[in-house]
Amino acid sequence: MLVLTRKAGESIVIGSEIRVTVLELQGRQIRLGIEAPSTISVHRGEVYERIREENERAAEGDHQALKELSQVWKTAGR
Amino acid sequence: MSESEKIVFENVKFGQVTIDASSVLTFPHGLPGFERFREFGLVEIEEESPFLRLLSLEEPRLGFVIFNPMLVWPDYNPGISQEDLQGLGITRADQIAVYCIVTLSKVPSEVTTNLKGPICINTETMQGKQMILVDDQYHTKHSILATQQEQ
Repeated sequence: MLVLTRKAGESIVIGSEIRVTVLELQGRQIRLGIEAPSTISVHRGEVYERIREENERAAEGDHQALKELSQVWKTAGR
Repeated sequence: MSESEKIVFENVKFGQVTIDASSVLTFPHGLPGFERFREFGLVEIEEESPFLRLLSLEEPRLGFVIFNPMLVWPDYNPGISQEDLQGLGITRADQIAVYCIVTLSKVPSEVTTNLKGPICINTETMQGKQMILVDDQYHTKHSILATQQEQ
């Protein structure tokens, strides 16, 4: 991980199209401004982690379980 | 490219799989946790099942089960942003298909789906992207069957 120290008002440029600016420090929190092309998604790290974790869990799925699930789905009358 | 062009690939659970070229789904950014894998085949399971398989064309061990969340949550409103729609080249509602990934379990009532990370597909170009919703009413583990029983 690249570690840089910034003051409020200073920024970091990533590649040629992404800029992260430290806007202000409020107690234990830091407000960050992110400028990036609209084609690049920006997410809070913990939210991205949750999606990633669930994808990994889903990828390990037991496809045998799917047969039973399909049966239950049918009998539930959908 | 003729309509009947077939793609053949390997999967550890299903062996050799043959699909129409028109069933190939491309994820330009991969999926969170699987960013390197871009090409998947959409495979129907059986005619009356709402579940589909999304099998990697590049990694035989990788596959997901997906389904249309509106079948259980008709009011599901993912609120996909204009930027995300533009990124997929979507300009009309009839180009959009939304699926959610299913996390399987041996216990059917514990099967869940990730409503916070819907897969949005441009059905004309067969390009897709997994969105991450900001809306807190959706999370990553919604029980599919429990909701059915409530209804």
